[in-house]
Amino acid sequence: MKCDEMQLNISMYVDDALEAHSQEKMFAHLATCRECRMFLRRTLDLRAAFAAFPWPEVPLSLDRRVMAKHLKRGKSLKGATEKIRMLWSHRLSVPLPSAALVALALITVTVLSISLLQRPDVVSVPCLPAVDVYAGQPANPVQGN
Amino acid sequence: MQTTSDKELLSLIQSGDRGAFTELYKRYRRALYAFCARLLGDTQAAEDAVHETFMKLSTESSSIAQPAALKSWLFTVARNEALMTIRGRRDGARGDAESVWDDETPQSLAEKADVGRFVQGALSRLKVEYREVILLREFEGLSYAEIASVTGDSASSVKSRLFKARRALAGKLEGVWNEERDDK
Repeated sequence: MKCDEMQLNISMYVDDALEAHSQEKMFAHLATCRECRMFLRRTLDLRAAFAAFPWPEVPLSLDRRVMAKHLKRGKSLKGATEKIRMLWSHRLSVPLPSAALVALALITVTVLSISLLQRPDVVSVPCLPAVDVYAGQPANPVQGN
Repeated sequence: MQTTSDKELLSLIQSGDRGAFTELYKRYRRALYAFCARLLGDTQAAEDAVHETFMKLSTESSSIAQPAALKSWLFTVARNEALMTIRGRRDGARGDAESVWDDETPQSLAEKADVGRFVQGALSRLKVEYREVILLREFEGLSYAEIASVTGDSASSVKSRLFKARRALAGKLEGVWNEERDDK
């Protein structure tokens, strides 16, 4: 039981995760326990063996797949923003004199309409009297007509 | 030389910078590919897992909650992709819950003749939950907290699994190391 606990501490020690006061206890135990000394040795041997492992080469096909997909996605996003930009620039690309002429025409029409409506000689169309459909008579005959 | 941090690169990726994506890919492709290849023992499946990881980065970069922990995020996604492959292979088969080993096939004489190959062979026979913590700690140098964030466990569970895995590997290798030392 004690060795189990100590070996857990040894495992943490090689990972630099054991506190100083626990390290003191561990070294005191190691001085008297061959089995735990062996475990420390093997754990360090394992680390050395792992460090000597060859790193697998990243295949070119992975580079190609990832970059091709990413570029494709980038292009589709770029395409969408480009369309919006084109539409915007197309709207702005109407020649300025033409735009000014259209604006002037609109203002003229508006002003003319307003002034025409405000002239006193322009008679507005009278409303037709409401008819009582049951009596066949106007429900509220307009006075003086 | 000042290098751009992961957080900065992620922010650039989120704003549509393709150069930042390429830089991040170059930064992590080797580590992620090695992790997946060693976890899966299959280079083609490892390639697929890493490909999926970077596709997720490309499409879900804006949903990464902790940009400073991007490395953990990448390893988490790669691990999940690899585990899906492993689950597919196992097809519901269950081993002994108490054992650290996934495959008890005796190691070959050729493996025994070379300590490096023997260690590699023994590592590949560990159960995936023990193998992954060894890979993340010994090869990627992740802290207990980072490994816990990748595997979704507590740091104390990571500590315990690392210890069990090391003890099992050390026990398996005892004879080989003794033979090697006797030869010298």
